Amino acid sequence: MSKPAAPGSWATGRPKFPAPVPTKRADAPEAPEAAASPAAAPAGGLAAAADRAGAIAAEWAPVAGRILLGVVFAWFGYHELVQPGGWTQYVPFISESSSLAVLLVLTHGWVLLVTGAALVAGIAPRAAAAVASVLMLEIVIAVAMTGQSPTALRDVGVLGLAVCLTGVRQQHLVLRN
Amino acid sequence: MIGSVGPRGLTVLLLVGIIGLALAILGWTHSGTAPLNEQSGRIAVYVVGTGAAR
Repeated sequence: MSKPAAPGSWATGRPKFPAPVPTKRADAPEAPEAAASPAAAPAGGLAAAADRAGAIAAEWAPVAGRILLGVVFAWFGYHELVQPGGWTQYVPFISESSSLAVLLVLTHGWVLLVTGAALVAGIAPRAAAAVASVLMLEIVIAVAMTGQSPTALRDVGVLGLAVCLTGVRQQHLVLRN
Repeated sequence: MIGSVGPRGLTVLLLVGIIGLALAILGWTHSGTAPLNEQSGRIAVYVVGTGAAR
């Protein structure tokens, strides 16, 4: 990525500038400096490969991030639904043995599962990412209140990913209709 | 943002929502039966080992 990124190029999901592909005309004479130093040609190839990798990453990294975040949400949602008793300790202000705590965990698990499915399938991905951001903020606050700061800090990173995905306008592998 | 949800997307969300509801009912019915934890396991071993249950 030798060229500077244009504003908004990340948000569109694809680079503004296509990756430069080294082309060589048939009638073009051999470059004297390339012939003089054998290290110059591999270095140029490496730069082109790096540019190409950058272009692929710009196009597909948001998709990978979205699907992986969706898998995390679906996994936690599933486990909150099938074993709510293991998660009631994270419900603040309410006794973990109460039925209300179980009900809140089940509701939370259901929202996580549906949001995870929306992220994986690419159904309204920006709206799903916005919901995921709100959920992650709530999770960070709830975990921080229980005093587990390393876990809360890790979840801040996941919150960052969710916030980042709300800004990605154009994505691959989405279910539009 | 939400305008991009089509009929297929809605079907997927509805299906996942129904599956989630079924899992929630399963979780609610099993919420009282917590798995054996380490402490209760130790108590059981103590009771059996010392014959305190007799």
